Amino acid sequence: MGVRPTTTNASPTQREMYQKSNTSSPSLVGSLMKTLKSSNSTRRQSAGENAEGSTYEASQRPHRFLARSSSQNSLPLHHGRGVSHIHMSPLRKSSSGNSNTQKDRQQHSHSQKRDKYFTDLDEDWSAVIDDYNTPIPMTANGGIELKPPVSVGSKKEHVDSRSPSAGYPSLPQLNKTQSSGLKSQYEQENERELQELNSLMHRVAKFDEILHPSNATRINLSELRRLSWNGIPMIHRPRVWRLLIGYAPANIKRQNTLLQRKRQEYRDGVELVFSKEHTRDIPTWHQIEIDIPRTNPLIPLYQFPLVQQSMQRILYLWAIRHPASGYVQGINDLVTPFFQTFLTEYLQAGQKDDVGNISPDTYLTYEQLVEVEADSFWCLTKLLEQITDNYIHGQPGILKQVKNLGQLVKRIDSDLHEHFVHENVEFIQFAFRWMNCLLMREFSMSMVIRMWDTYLSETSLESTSSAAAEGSSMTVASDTSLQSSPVGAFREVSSSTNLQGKHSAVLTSHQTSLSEFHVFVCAAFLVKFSDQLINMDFQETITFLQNPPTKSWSESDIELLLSEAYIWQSLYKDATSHWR
Amino acid sequence: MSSRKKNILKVIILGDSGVGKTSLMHRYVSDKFSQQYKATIGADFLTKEVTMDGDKVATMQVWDTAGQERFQSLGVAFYRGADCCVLVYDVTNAKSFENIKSWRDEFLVHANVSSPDSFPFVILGNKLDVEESKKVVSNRAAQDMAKSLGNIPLFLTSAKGSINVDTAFEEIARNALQQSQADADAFEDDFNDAINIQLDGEPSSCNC
Repeated sequence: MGVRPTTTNASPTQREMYQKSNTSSPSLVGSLMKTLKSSNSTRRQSAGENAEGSTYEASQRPHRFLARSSSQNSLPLHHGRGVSHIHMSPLRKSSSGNSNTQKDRQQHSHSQKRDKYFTDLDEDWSAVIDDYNTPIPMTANGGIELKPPVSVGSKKEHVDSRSPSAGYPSLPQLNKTQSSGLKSQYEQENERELQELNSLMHRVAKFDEILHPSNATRINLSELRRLSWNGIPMIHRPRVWRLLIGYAPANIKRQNTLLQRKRQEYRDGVELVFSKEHTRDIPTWHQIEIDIPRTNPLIPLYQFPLVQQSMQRILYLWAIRHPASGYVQGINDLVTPFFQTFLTEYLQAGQKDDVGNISPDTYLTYEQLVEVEADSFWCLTKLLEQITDNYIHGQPGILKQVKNLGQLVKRIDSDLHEHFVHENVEFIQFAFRWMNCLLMREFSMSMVIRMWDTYLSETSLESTSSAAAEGSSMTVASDTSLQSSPVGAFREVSSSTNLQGKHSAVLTSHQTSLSEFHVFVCAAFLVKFSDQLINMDFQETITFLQNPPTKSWSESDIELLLSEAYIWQSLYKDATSHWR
Repeated sequence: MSSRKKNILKVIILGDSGVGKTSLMHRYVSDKFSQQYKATIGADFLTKEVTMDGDKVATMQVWDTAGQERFQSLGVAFYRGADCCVLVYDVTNAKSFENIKSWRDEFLVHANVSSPDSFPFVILGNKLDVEESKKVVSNRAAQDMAKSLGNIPLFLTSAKGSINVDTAFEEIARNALQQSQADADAFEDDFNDAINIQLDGEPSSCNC
């Protein structure tokens, strides 16, 4: 890790930490390593079998270089190849430590291996190389340059003693002379896995530090935002999301009280809206009812009746409280990352990845489920406050974003734009959904959740903290209106008084931040396929963009996309200032 | 332009949310049915090669739109240039049936078609497979409405049970082809008219 020549910026503390974790908790590392290895071998096999998948991987490869090198601070695996942008702040921070889940770790080490081996190979590498059992790439490339960054002697021994070949059932047994070349391959893998683990532990520690400041009563939100931009470890994600979005206050002492009050407010709201006194809004109810079974139909979690009832309550209450917008299809998608993330809080470490498959009633009480529901409701509310214009009548926010996307692509990739004009491809034809669902339909849930780490970090600090501060006063306000009670009073009337006007002004500046960044992400996403799109006619273009090839995307692909969006945003800051 | 237009038939599917527009499109294009479609946002797009009357080959571009009313504002982006409009209701949902007329009107307002009176629509009453007791729209009522809206062809279909879907889309394709050719002819006429005006009229001159 931090000892490789290329990683001069690894701080002494960082290094100490790595070493410390190596020596102080060998058993933990050992057991985690085991898990990683056994699953890696499975992955290898499947990678070999899936020829289609590897072809796609091949086309993605140049991007990986960028992705990996952008995170070289904590994962010094790569010589910064063609990286002219590493000085940009969000990119400097590690983008990989967040992969704290088993699955993610596998994916990560998987892609790192690939990168590691082929960093110095020609671009036209063969997808067959996915089979890591083949030592060819090492020798083909002279091997020497790719030798592992062996440095900490004690750690090396430690690794060796814990790398039984049993973890690699598909590997042939090798005699001593053969294995000398391959041994370094094992070592490399072990090194990498350790590096990754250490980097993760370091990240977890960083988050711990921010979330539990020893000598302050407030959480440093700007620091948290900076760190979260590059991904949040799963164990911290629920807490961090609540903070980033301005639902939980930065003031640690007030956190519990406020969350309890908000959760109670939600329960009261549900009780009121589902009571007999409340006349049901039939069209809204019907729309939500038919959308719930169609929400993430491929994720078992959303098929459990218990969960569907939670969704119904969240969405219906939100719709009733926001009459100017009401329920709009796509909002059902937007609530699910919150719901799923908050559920993980109640799952054991090893089960968090399975949140999409386990029925919540097997691990939490009904009261706890309602708390998850309440948190999801408030976070959804906070998120939608930032993109209100997307869902009000006429959906002006989306139309504006689509227009901005077109203008942006015209600047970034004028050939592609021209081609679209020539083929009569209109941005609205494919990008409407990108805006309406924040690209959620384009990526798998785990990728979306990673993306949201960054999205929720993208709101400007001042507005969030003031929004959070006002959150409490709003609570009081709606508490009183609840007491005097008719449903009408319960609704949030937008900006009629001065105070509320001020509040909504804050939200407006808020809004630009997230929706503006999203347009850059969409542009980066589209331009990614430019080489393919430029050769397609209208029909092929629309068909392609309706179903973009993102199934095999990993976190590093998402992180690259976000980094590219950040770069475009930095480059075109002035040109897009009028968007506000 | 006209030659290109002849080969592509643009069909747009409208109707309330949840009546089965996406399912009908997938049944027709790929002969598949799934319970797992997500709600359509904006519009989905699929294409199918069609052969009519033995020799006429065309590509049908099917736009499957979102049913929620809130999305109607972007209809114009998808309606333009349509050759046939399919109106879908759910035989178990009276409201979706009542809304057929407003979907048609909505289309005519936004699509900017050259001759609204002759523009081809086809009505599909979907979910025919469900048990009789759940059906709330009678065939009689459906026929009456189809007639009142200008003798629009009506088909009772089931995307799930694959009932009548191909037949319906054959009719849709035929209508679309006819409309496409009519449009192309009209274009030719317009074009000739334009030339004639120039030839017949006084040459424009500059007064300066």
